[in-house]
Amino acid sequence: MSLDNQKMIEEFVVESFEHLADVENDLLTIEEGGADSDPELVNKVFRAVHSIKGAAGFLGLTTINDLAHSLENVLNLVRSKELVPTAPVVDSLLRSVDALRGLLNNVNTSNEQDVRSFIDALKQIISGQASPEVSASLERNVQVGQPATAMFEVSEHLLATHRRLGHQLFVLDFDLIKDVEERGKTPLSLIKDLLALGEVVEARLDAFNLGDLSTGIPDRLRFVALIGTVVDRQMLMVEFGLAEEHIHQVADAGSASPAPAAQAAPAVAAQAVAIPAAPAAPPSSAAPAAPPVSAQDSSPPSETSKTNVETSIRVSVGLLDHLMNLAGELVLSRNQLVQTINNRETRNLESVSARLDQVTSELQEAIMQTRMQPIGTVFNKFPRIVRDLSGKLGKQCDLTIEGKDVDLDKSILETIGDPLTHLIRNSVDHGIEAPQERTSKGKNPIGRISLRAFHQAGKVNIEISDDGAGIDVNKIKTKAVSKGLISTERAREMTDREALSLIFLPGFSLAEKVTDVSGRGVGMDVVRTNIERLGGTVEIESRVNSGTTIRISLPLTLAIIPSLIVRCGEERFAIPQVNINELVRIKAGDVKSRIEHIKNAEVLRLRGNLLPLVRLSRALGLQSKYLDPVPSELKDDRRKNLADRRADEEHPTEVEARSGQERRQDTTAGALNIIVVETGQLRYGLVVDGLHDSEEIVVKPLGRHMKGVRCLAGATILGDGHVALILDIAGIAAQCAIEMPEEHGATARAEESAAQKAEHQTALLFTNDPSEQFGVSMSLISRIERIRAEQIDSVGGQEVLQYRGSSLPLLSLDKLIKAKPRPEQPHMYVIVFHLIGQRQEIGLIAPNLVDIREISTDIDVVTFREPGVLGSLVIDEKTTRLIDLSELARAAHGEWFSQQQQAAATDAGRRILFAEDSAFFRKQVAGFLSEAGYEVQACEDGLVAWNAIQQSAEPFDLVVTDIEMPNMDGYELTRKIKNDQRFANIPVIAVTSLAGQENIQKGGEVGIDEYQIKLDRDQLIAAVTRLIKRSATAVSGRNA
Amino acid sequence: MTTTMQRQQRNMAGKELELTTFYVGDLLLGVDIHQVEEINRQLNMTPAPHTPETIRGVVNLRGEVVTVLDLRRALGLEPTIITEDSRNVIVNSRGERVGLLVDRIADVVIAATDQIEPPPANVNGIDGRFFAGVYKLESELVVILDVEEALASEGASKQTT
Repeated sequence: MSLDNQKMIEEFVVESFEHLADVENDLLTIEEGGADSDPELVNKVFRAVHSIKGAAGFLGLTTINDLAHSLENVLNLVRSKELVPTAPVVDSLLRSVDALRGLLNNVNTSNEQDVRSFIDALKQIISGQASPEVSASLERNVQVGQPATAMFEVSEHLLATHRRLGHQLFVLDFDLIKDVEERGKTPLSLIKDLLALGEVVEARLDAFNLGDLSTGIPDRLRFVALIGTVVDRQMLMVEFGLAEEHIHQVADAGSASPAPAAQAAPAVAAQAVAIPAAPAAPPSSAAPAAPPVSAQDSSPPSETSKTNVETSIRVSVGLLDHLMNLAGELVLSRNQLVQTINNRETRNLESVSARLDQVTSELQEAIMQTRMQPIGTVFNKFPRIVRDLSGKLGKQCDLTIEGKDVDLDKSILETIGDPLTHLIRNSVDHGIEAPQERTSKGKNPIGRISLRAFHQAGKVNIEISDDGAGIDVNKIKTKAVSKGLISTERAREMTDREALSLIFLPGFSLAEKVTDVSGRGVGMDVVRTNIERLGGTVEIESRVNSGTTIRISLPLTLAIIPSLIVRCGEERFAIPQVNINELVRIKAGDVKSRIEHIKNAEVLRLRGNLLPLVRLSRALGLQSKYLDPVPSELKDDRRKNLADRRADEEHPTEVEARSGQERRQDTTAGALNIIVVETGQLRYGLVVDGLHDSEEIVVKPLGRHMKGVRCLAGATILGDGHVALILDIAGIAAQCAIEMPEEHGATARAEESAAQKAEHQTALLFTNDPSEQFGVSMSLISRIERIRAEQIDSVGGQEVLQYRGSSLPLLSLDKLIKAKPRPEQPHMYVIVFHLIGQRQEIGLIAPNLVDIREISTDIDVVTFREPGVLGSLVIDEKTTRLIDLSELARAAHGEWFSQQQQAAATDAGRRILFAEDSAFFRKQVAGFLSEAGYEVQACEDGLVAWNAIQQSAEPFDLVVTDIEMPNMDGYELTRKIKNDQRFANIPVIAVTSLAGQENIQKGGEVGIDEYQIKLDRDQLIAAVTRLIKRSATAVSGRNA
Repeated sequence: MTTTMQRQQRNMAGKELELTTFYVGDLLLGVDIHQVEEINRQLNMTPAPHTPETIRGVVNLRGEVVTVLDLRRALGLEPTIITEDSRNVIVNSRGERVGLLVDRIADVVIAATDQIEPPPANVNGIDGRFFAGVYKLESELVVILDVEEALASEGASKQTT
């Protein structure tokens, strides 16, 4: 094949795939519409196939041409309403489209491929549904046109269609030079005009007699078109300015001579025999006739194959123009810079550099944009997958897709397809139950799967949720234990959330047997690895019989990641933010008590859990250095154990005597910087010599000599031009062979501290004005951001933060409660939280963070009480006020809450009885329960609650109770409730910090319906909603 | 035709080999000039952990992170001591840029290919496998370096002399 030809064929393939891009989904829509399908849609599919057919014929790709032709015939019948697009018909069409794709993928060998089975199947549809004359006329071709000058070959059926529509057929003979160009029109406008008048059956450009450039520009460029239209000849003459002899009306089809189509005749005869007696024969007879794809057929491409022709990308012209402009700006800036330096005009240097900085950033962003493609290109293949799989498994599934326009980097898109496919297939296979099972559970027999993509907090989130069977946590635990993945003890202690993430362990599979659909056991861990490799995270949430939701979070682009720069020895390293859990700083005096040794490994006790520690210097084989402020230089840290003192260390009490400022700064005197990092299931603490800033870095690949180093994931260039290596957290763990510490002894200690924790809360302490300390409960916080003061904008009196493309409303303490104004300082923190049921995030400005502490819940709720302040207590000899975030938000943005009340309308008026002896928790929980729309009656003891439930005129819908209460504890209360006929049906949720095995058992004995650990607000609300709904349906079931 | 063009023609005809030369200790080594991308003084290397001794570190080459090899180490000699004359020779190997740390840069040498002799089994104590040939200059010998072999070297421990 000549090079030109090859190029044309490649372009043809690319274009054909574009034509076929929407065809699948369009066919599915047509299937849903059935006989009432939108004719425009059918037309669209028809035209797509028609174009492919035409071009293929021109390029000599006969097999593609033949297959497209058969497709066209069927579509034509659908278009003219002679064929109803039922499921078997659409099935056959879809399979043929698959085959067509297969041919296009291997275009150079396509002519040798055998697609007879598909063509036969299509023909059978026609013969099965349409009358014998129709199918015969489809096969017969006739020659029509202007004899001796312009003849076209069309199917008889087409002629008949036009006749039926009342069209006349004309051959219009144009000279593109005279009739178009000289009149100031374009060929495109001519075609548009033709299409406006009727239908263009065929058209031809007579370009073959033109010769080459040496013979000069031709004086005539002939273009003939065969059109079917209701317009008469006179009108055509006027419309196109054609002379009479250039418009030839084709006489009725009767006088058209049959085309010498050799293969058509015997095929027709064969078809005539195969036609079933009644034309209204059920279409199912056509479907089973469609043979399964045999081995030698060009098999339809599997869902995971990639088009290898597609190495190009589509970019909007607007974006390219923008890039050109920026390139121009860059040149100008560069010229300015060169000139400034040459002329030694140092005054200008700052502004020139600022301009260069800005242009470079804009250019970088614009270039990254060119790689962004809408996620819809990946989502588009799922309706078909769901349809086919549901059919195969005998289930009924409805897939809704949202957020097709969300853009993602091309390389992420390419990799995300497989994991998503796996997850969707899981939903259909394991999630959605069979229709009868669903009906018996009181669910709609049609399962709903929703696929949603949206932007949030600078990331792209993808949510796949189904309302299916959910995942049974106990089954997971049992399976994991039986496979030896975890110990029985660990299984007992695990929270549901931890148990669900067991699914991501390699080798784990819940399926009873391996089907070829899913369950090979290679699924979920590969999914998570792939997603994490892209810098993303995946979480799973599930409730038995309610359904499962999987949340994937992806960075907008691979190449730039937020990271934390740390120091080890003299070198700087970067740790990707996605791996960082929290930062812990241990003061010298505390080191000995908090660092323990288990089997020669150093571990840190962090809020009751043991965290294995890794010294980065050891992992990398570097010399650890500490920063001695006097003089400011790095000295070798020669300690063998972290808990040892360094030789020149001061006595700890002297350390305390220094000012707080100095203490915060120093890394000497034995203080430890530990970064709690996480990857997959593994969580450990990385001890580093020092911390630098958090930065967004550009990831650069390492050369081949460095590929084998496990600890490194890449490199980046810092602002000063130095190279900083990026740490591979999983690699370091592998390098140091980290094991999660064995639990022996640890269990007892964990329970001990849990008991101690009984009435404690974890709170984040911070200061606004340095003299005033405040605290916020950790359970309400989504995340903490460190920002620059200038990132805060004031818009219409409201402060907002522009952060990574989104706008975050900010609350300023001193504007809402009695507090001193916040200090002017360049950097601050923002505590980000969101209110129940609202996706809107809010930030509370916290200029300086102090610590995260366990605080007692015995607080003073009188002295400092005001809207937004729960109460106060003394911490570190400072009066610390506890902030109620939702009250604060309500005070600032009352208008948001009215919406919320409406949202809670479904559960409006539901009454909850709440028993809790701690004033602090009572306020908190009652607060957000009522915020969620429930009517709450709070009691400070079990006995009070028991009396309340007996005396109450209206019944309660749910009881939430603490366990440890003075006069009557939670067990007793539950027992009384469940043993009393009047109240036995009321669900009881226990909110407690005691969740050891014996407690749960006892709870089960008295009839507690669910255990919630103090204090996870979202989980509690979800449990309340769920249990109320469940008992409501049970009640209605009984009453029915 | 000018002499440059003549030279280019001879070069392209395979009659001549243009070599960048540099010193590693007392040894004068040469590398085909087409393989050398640049020579610079980027000696501010970031050390890389867990890499073989031959790797000195990485440098920032206009936005690209380039691995730098200690050529002395690669050839089995004592590690390079960086001086004012030390240079980084950036070569193109299999589509990737790699740096070679050398002691001193010397002149460009035009070698007539028919005068290049096969290397001995051992030069100054270094295994002959690193060399592709020798070329006699007036006063000394240019030993032509096999770059790929050097890059693949794992250092002194692997040397068997």
